[in-house]
Formats: sequence, structure tokens, C-alpha cells
Amino acid sequence: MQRGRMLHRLCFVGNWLISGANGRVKGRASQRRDNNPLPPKFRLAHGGTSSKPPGKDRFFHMSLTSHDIDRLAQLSRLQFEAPAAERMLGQLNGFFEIVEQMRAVDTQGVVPMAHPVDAMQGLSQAIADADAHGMTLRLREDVVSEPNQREANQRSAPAVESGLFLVPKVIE
Amino acid sequence: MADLHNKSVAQLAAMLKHKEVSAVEVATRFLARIGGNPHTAFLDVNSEVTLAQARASDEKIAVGTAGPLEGVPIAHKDIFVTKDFATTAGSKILQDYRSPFDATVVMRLRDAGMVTLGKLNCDEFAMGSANENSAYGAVTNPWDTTRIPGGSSGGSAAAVAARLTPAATGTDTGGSIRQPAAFCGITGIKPTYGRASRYGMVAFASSLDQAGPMARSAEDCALLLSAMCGPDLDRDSTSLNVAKEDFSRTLMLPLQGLRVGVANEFFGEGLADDVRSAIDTALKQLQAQGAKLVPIALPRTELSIPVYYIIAPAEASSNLSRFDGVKFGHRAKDFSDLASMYEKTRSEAFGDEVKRRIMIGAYVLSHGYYDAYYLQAQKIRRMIADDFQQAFDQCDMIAGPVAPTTAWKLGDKSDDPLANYLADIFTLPASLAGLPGMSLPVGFGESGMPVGMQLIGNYLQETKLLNVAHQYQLHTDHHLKTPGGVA
Repeated sequence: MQRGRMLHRLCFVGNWLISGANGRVKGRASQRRDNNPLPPKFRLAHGGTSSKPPGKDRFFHMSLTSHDIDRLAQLSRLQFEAPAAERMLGQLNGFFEIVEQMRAVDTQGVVPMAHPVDAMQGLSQAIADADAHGMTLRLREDVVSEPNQREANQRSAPAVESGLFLVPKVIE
Repeated sequence: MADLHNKSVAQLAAMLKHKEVSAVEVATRFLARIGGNPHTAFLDVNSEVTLAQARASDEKIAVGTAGPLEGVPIAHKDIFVTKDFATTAGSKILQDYRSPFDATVVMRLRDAGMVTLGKLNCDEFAMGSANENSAYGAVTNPWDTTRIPGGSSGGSAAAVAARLTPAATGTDTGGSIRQPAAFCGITGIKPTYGRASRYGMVAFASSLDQAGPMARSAEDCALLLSAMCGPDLDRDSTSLNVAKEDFSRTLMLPLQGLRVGVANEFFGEGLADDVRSAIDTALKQLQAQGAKLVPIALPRTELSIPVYYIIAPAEASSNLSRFDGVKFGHRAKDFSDLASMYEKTRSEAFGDEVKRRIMIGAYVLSHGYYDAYYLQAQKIRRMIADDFQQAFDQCDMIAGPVAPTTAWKLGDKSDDPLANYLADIFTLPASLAGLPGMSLPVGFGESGMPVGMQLIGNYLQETKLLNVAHQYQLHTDHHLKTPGGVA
């Protein structure tokens, strides 16, 4: 690879110029993309975001709408006043433009890596020697291990009564 | 002893051991320097607690039961929960929060004899690259107070650089130890994911968060890391079952024959000239000490930005759901029902960057987008980890810049979250793979700001990184420089 090619597109020019931002990713990834159509579920994923139907330009990011911001805010238990919601919409759309290059990468057959411990497995002789299970995520025995510290644990609670956390009335 | 605050961790440990100075004297000196809170580096101090710990250390030294770092002061990033100090994670939602227990890392450093000076400012929930996302004020860079110290462990880096503490803890999710260390001219190491317990670390992105030490030299970092790490199997399911290690044991190995991988992707056009030239000089220095430079490829370096900024917010949106105003922390005053209590509490107490990441996380995890974003990111994450394994077939470690530029001016990128994200390009790949990475000062840029070199090792190879950094520091003096104005 030529010196500089990868970083070239990340130059800090003005307000976020990245040539990948128009959704057309150059180089190795896009060649792969052309050769290997993405699985159907990838395409389906675009369904709900936009009035535009998925089609030949499905690799363009479908911009989020103010409706999406409302829905995400509701899911996240957050509220935004109108100007803040507008700003959030612009920032999220800016963000998802840089994500486009990622979506074009051919990952067929690649096992998702949820956790680094997963990638370490089988790589370290030190671990293999020390403990055959050293690199696996483990569950502890289901036994009581902590002393009861109700008072200490509730010291920072906003509202407590008789050792219970108080919340607004849920059932009328 | 006029220059007590300029002593290293190793020097202070030796002086305390030989009773040339008392722990109370050392603690008193640093507490005096912290007074007035220069650089807004600290969020909580409590001199009574600190001095009580120091007196206990002096007693242990007197009766010969001292730990290896007995009486040496340290301050903790406000991401680690502490019994004796408030823990806010830089957020209003945890204002005045007091944990009923100490984080494992805090406990281990206490067990080694260290005296706690207080808690250090950081970006809210460790989300940021400039420390401008703290709810308690931005931290300034001791080398130029009009500039950012880096983030998210900005308070830690500034405090060490300004000699407010000889050592600090940091946490690194996407570069939060390495980048502020580079920007403030100090040394820091993020160990292999799973080396240091995450128990008692306020969670941001659980598959990425890792604790590590920040100090002035590799020698000090090795001492601190040895005390911090080790299995914590009952309390952290991601803690590695790898025996405690003495990370200082190979510091003195010569670099003869060492193969240092250099990736073109780390030296592209986005790299500022002054950073490039400092790194080039440092690489030549390693060569002069016997190392061999080997070209390697890390072709998905650029992709690490979208991959990280999908995965980290996804995990954050899940982790931060616990802040609901019920069991701890802030609760809004006026609300009509339970849902409005949640919404008002979270909306008024989370900062903008935290909200942005929660929203991104909710989006990429939601029905219809999970496969295209979150799962796709996890697949590329594996490809990035595999790229490193191929590279390590050809080299013993990788060297390059920590960040594309030196520290920028306060406010320069504060309205532009994406600009902050992009500046993380060189630290994200090792974070995604879970590899150990460190930053060491290798000179100064055009504006007189420090430049950091990054070393990335294979899993569990921290001793190699520390060895190379220490050998470099034996032949250079960048790590000994003090910011102008810091007496």
C-alpha cells in the first residue's frame, strides 16, 4: 500500500471532509463489494429509515429524520427541546456518513468478535501453560458472596424509606 | 527537600524505605501543590483521609511491614469508585455520589502501600478526547494552558505533568490513557484487556474499558502496573486468569535484534509534520540502540473509527441505562410519573456527548439496524484483530504516533464531535483488538507541545513495551522535561 493512502481521506479540512462520506468507498473494500453482493438481510436493514426505497443506491446512508430522533430519544429515555433535537439530527447524520465505509466491507464468513478475550484464545502459550481456562469468560458460583450492606448501598439514593427505594406511583 | 515533587515513583519509594523522608512529608508537599486546584485537574481531595493514610504508611515503614510502594502518593481518575472520596465519573448524574466500596485497582494500590491524594477530572463517563466533556470544567494542559490536555484521562495526565502527583491511574477505552499521556508529555500504559480488574470502574464500554498507570517514566509505570494487575476472578468475569507479574523484570534487556513494526497506515498525509518528524527521530534512536525496523501493514486502521464508534456507543447505551434516578445519583425535581422522572433526570444530568453516544448506541442496536451496524462492526473488529496477528508474525512490537497532531487549543473542536472521533485513529485499533499499548514522550512539536510515540505489543507482552520504553528513556531525556511555569 502506498504511504499515505489510508490517512489521506482523513485530513482535517474545514468541517469534516472525508471522501468516503458520499458513500462511495474507494479501494479494496469497494472492489470486494462489487464482486460479492451483500446478503439480503443487509438490504432489508434499510427499510425503515427513509421514504426512499432501497434500490441501486442502497449504499448511500439513508439520512435519519426528526421522527427517528424522537423514537431514539424515547428508547433512550431522553428528551430534547426543538433546537437540541435539530442539532442532534445533524450530528448523527454526519456520524453515519463516516460509517458508510464500514458497511461496504465484505465480511461474509467472518465470526463477529464481541470481546477481546475471544481473540486471545489459543494465541498465548503463557495462558495455555498457566490455565487451560485462562482465556475464557467464566461464570462464578451462584452463591452469596457479598455481605448485606443495605444502608451503605442506599446512602446515595435520592429517596429511601424503611430500606426501600421510593419511586412515583406506578399502579393507580 | 525542595524538589521532592519532582521525584519519580521509584525514587520516592526508595527514599521512604530508607526513611530519608516520611510519608506525611511527601503527602503534605503534594497536597500543598494541589491547593487552588491548578489546571482543574482534581475533582475531590480530602487532606484528612490522605494524611491518615500517610501516617499509617509511616508506621508500617517503622515496624518493617511496608508494601513495595509504601507511602508513595497516587491519585485516581474519577472513573474508579472510592469509599473515602466522592466518585462522579465527570458527570452531574453522579454529583456527590459515594461508593460503599473501593474499586479493585484502588484496593490493590492501597495494598501496595500507596497513599491516595484524591480524584482526578475526566471526560464524562470517559467519553471524550479533550477533557472538555467534564461536567466540572475543562482541564488545561500544563505545557500551554490555552490547550487541551487530551482525554479522557486528562486530569490524570495534567496532574502528573504539573507535578501535582507522581502517579495517577487512568482508563483507556479507545486511547484515553495513551493520548492524554502523549499530549502532556508523560508515560502511560494500557495493558492487555483483562489484566486489570474492571470491578469498581464506572462502565462505559465493557469490552474495551481497561485501567492502567500514568507516570513520568516507563520504570514507574512498570512498578505501578505490577501492583495494579492480577486476576480478580470472583468480581470481574473478564479478568484474565493470568498470574500476577513483575513487569519491571526485563527493563534492562538490550534492544539488540528487536524487530519494531512500522505501519504505513500510521504515517499518511493526515499526520502533522512535527509529529512525524519527532516519531522518525525516535525510531532512528531505537535503531541506534540495536532495534530493526520492519515494514508491516495494518490495512483497516481507518475503519477502526466507524467500528469503534459503533461498538463503544452500543455498549455505553446499555451500560448507562442504570442511571435512572432511582438507586443512586441525581433525580430531577419535577416530574409527573415514572417515565417522566427517568427522562427529566437523564436529560438534565447527562452532557451532550453522553447523550449523543446513547442515541447512536440505541440506533445501532435497534431492530432492523443491528445486523447492518453492530454485527458488521463486530466482524470488522475481528478482521482488525487478525491484521495485528499477521503483523506480529513479522515483528515483536509496533511503533508509531499516538495521535495525528499535538494538543489542540481549548474550544477548537468542542463543537465538532466528529473531529474528536477522527483524532483517535491511531489508538483505536489496539483498543478494538484488546492489545497492550503505551505512550512515551519523544520530543516536542512546532508549538512546543509534547509528542508521544505509541508502542503496541501482542497479548500479555507488556514487559516488552516497558523494556523498550525504558531503554529509550535511558538514552533520552524527554520524559524528564518539566512544563515551563511548573516549578
